[in-house]
Amino acid sequence: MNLDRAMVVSKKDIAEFRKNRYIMMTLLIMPLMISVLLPFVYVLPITELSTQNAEHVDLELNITAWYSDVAISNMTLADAGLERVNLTNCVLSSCIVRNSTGTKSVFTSSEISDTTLGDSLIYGSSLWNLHDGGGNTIRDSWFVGGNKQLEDLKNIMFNVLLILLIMIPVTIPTVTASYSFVGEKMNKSLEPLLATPITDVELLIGKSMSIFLISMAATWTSFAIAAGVVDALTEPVLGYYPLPNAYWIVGMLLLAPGMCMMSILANVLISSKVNDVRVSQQIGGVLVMPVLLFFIFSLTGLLSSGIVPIILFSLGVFAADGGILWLSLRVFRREEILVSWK
Amino acid sequence: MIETVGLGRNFDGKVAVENLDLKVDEGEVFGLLGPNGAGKTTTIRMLCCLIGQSSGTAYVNGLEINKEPDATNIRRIVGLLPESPGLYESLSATKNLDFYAQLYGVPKDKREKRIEELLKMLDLWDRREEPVATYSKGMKQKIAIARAFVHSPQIVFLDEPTAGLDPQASVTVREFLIQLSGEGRTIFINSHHLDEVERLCDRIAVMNRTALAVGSPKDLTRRFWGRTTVIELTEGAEKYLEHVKRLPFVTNVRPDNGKILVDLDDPELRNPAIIEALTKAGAKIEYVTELKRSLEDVYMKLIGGGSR
Repeated sequence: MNLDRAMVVSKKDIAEFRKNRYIMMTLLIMPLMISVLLPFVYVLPITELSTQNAEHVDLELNITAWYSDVAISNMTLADAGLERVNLTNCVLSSCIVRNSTGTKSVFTSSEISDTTLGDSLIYGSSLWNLHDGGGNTIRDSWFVGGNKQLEDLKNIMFNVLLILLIMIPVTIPTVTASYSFVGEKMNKSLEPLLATPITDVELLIGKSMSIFLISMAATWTSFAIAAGVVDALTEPVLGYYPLPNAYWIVGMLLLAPGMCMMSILANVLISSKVNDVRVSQQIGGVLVMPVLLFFIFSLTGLLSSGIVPIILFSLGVFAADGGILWLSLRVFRREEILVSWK
Repeated sequence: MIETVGLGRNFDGKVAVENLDLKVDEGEVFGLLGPNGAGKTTTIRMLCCLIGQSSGTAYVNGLEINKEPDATNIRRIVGLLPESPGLYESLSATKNLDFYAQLYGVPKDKREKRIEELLKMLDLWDRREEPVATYSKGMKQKIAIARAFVHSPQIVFLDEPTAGLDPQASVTVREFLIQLSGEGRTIFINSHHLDEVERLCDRIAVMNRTALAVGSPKDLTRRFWGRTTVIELTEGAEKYLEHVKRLPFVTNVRPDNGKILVDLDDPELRNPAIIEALTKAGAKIEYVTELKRSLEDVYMKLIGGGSR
């Protein structure tokens, strides 16, 4: 196999795509909509939920004494630092509480981190990874992680956004790949092309490579823009930049290329079997099915429970890609394309 | 250089080409003449290893068609002009030619030189960077022909090189082909432009699914029509017919609008004796010439138009 020839085909296709207004519009509009407009929609509930407590709690703490590894009950504390303590029936104001537990206590204007609280009242505090033991009342506080309701919603929203971003590498090839063979045939340029020493594998690789490169360029650019927009919108309410998280990184670096390959190979396969760009695109539309599968798995929590399931799902997609490539090479017949297409 | 042995091809039971036997020598310009649907394009496609054969086989430069690795090697040494130019319309002439030169593995310096040479030869150098979509039909055809020659192939297959072109563009394309055929390569032309084939080709085959006749245009004319001497007399052609008929080498004599037409094998040798016989009989001869039969006459006779 001569990869140089595949590269030549790929470069030529990219040059042609750049001159095709329809393809360029698809490459620009869809990613722009998904990466710029949709984050506003999906981030809105996050910001709404966050502002139930406070926009921002700015504490100026002046700690005068530290307590650690003790159990404290029925006490009132102010300007104290507490680490690894067990609080019961306490009233704390302007304190720092870390890695502790507490029940039936009241916290005001305090900074509480990595702590489990139950049946307590929390006012005007800054909460970092608060573990909710149940029965708490939280008012005018600012969450930085630890708000289970917010975290759950955030994860769902980010997953939905990731699914939509993965639609980009799946959808762009339905437009570009449908032009790959049908376009050549309609342009009557396939016959001189097939008369050159290029082999079927080189031609398939060359055609797929160009589509892969432009689809992934559009996808990763959209991903970067979307992550930037989400971060810019959520940082003020979350207190940190939530994206890219590990799930998104796996999604973009593994699942998106896998889905893109699947879409390209299947579309090229369809494109080599039909003789009309529109028919090719319509059949190619069926290829969003694996994305829907991913969507359903995500919603049921099968994939979003960690990065291992999404890695496994991605590997499954790559395995399917291998199968489609094998099938493409078996059913690709240059003679059939030349003779049966009118 | 090219040899077909009982080559045949069916499409869904319909015979497109059958039992085709041809031999084309190295450096020869060979024409394949035939009506639409005669199997000319199918023959070229089989020889370029674009489609397989149903029966028989063929050899191109000693390599057997549709048999790997021969097929790939055949594609390396042949150039093809298909029926339609099939250019990438959004790309420039240079980009189109460079793309194909790269696929054929022509090194960068050589392909730049070759593209410049071809575009200058075709008078397209000044418009080389413009998209092909802005070109006229004739200009596109010239670029498509240049594409077939861009890798300096040993053999070039041209399917209807002047189809759909205006007379001026046809002349340019023909001149270009004459120039390129002078480089010693084998050129195989499909056409139903009899005049073009007669002018360009050393030998031709008249084809209708199979080869009906093969030879040089002159040979075919002689083979199918013989040779006829035309003698114009000042008066009374009818009364001198008998004097010519008596000559032993004359096969047929007939009057034609004040002229005497004499069918014979070797006019150069026999004409002086005819003239002598007529002069002796008192005839006054205005001129003697040979009746020209065109390739069209041969074609019509073979393909079914009958004699004219």
